[in-house]
Amino acid sequence: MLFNRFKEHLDRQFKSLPDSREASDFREELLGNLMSRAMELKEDKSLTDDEIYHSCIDSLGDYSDTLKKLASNPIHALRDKRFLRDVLFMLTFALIAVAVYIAVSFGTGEWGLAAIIVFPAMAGIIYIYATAKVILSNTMLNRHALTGLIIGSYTVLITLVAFFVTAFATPVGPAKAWVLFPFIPFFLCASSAFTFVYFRKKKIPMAIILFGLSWLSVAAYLLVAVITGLWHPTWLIALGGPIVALVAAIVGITQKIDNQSR
Amino acid sequence: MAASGDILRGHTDTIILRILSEGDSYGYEVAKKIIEGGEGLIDIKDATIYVAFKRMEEEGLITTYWGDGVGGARRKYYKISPKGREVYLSDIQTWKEINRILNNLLIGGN
Repeated sequence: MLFNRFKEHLDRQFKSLPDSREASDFREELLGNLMSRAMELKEDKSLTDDEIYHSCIDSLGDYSDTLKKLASNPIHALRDKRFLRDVLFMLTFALIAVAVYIAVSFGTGEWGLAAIIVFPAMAGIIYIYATAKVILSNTMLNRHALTGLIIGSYTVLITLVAFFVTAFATPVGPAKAWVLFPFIPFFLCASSAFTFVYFRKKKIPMAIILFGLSWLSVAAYLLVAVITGLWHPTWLIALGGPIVALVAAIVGITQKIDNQSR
Repeated sequence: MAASGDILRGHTDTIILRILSEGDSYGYEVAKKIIEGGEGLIDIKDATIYVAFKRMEEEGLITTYWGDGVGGARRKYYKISPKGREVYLSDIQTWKEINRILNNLLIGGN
C-alpha cells in the first residue's frame, strides 16, 4: 500500500530528528502532499504502484537542508526523548565503568593496572557503540560524510595499539616500531576507498588512488629499510607506488577519452 | 527543458502569493499550478515550495491550518494574510517597473 510505503520512507528520513512539533508537522505535510499526488497519479490507470511511488518521492526534491535545520535546533534536541535517553545511557555506563574498576581493583589489588585496562576498554566499547550507531544512521539516510572518517579512526586506533605493543611488549622497541605510523595516511585512503565502494556504491576517486598508492610505496620503503637496515638502494621502492598510480591514471583517463569519443 | 532555477529565482514568493490570493491551497496543489503555468519550462520540487512557505510564514505573509486529507494523510493549507496581499501588490508594481526597464534594455525602441 502506497500510504505505508510513503510512511516508511519518511520514517527513515526523519529517524535522526528530534520528536519536535515542527519536525512532526513537516513530516505530516510531506505525507499529505505525497498522498495527494499519488491519488491523482492513480487515476492514470497505466501507472503501476511502483512507478507512482518513485514519481512521488522524486517530486519531493532535496529537502536535506530543512532536515538539517530541524536536527540542529538545540532547544528541540534538549527536549528530545532520544537525547535524554542517550544522556541517561552515558551516565549509567560511566557508573558501570567505575563499579567494574572498583570490583576488579579490589579483586586483584592492582589499582593502577586496573585503571589502565578497565577505563580504556570501557571507552572503547562506548566508541564502538556510538560509531556503529552513526554508520547505521548514515546507511539508513544514505549520507556518508562521516563514514570514511569513522572507519579511518579505527585504523588509526589499531595502528596506535600495534605501535605500543610492538614498541613496549616485544624486542623490536620504539626505535623501529615508529615505522608503523607512516602507514596511517594509507589506511585513511583505504578507509575512504572502502566507503566509496561499499557504502556509496561509487567508483573510487582518482585522487584517492594516486595518493594512496604513492603513500603506500613510501611507507613500504620505510618498513623495508628499517627491518633490513638497507636505506640505499631500497629507496627505489618509494618510486614504485607513484609509477603504478600514474600508469593507472593514464589507463583510466584513456578509457574516459575513448568513452567520450564514441 | 526545465530551467526552473533560473526562471523562478527571486519570484517564487510572489508566484505563491498570487496563487494563494485566488484561494487557500496546499503544497502539492501550489507546485502543480506552478508547473502547469510554467508551460514545460518550469519544474519545482516540494522542498523548494516548503522552504518558501516556511519563510513567508515567518514573515507573516501567510498563515496555515490543517484540513481534511486524502488517503489517510492530512493536508496543510496555506492562506494569504493581509500583509501578504500588500507585499504581493507591491511586488507586482516592482515587477512591472523592472519588466519595462528590461524590455527597453533588451529589446529597445522606447
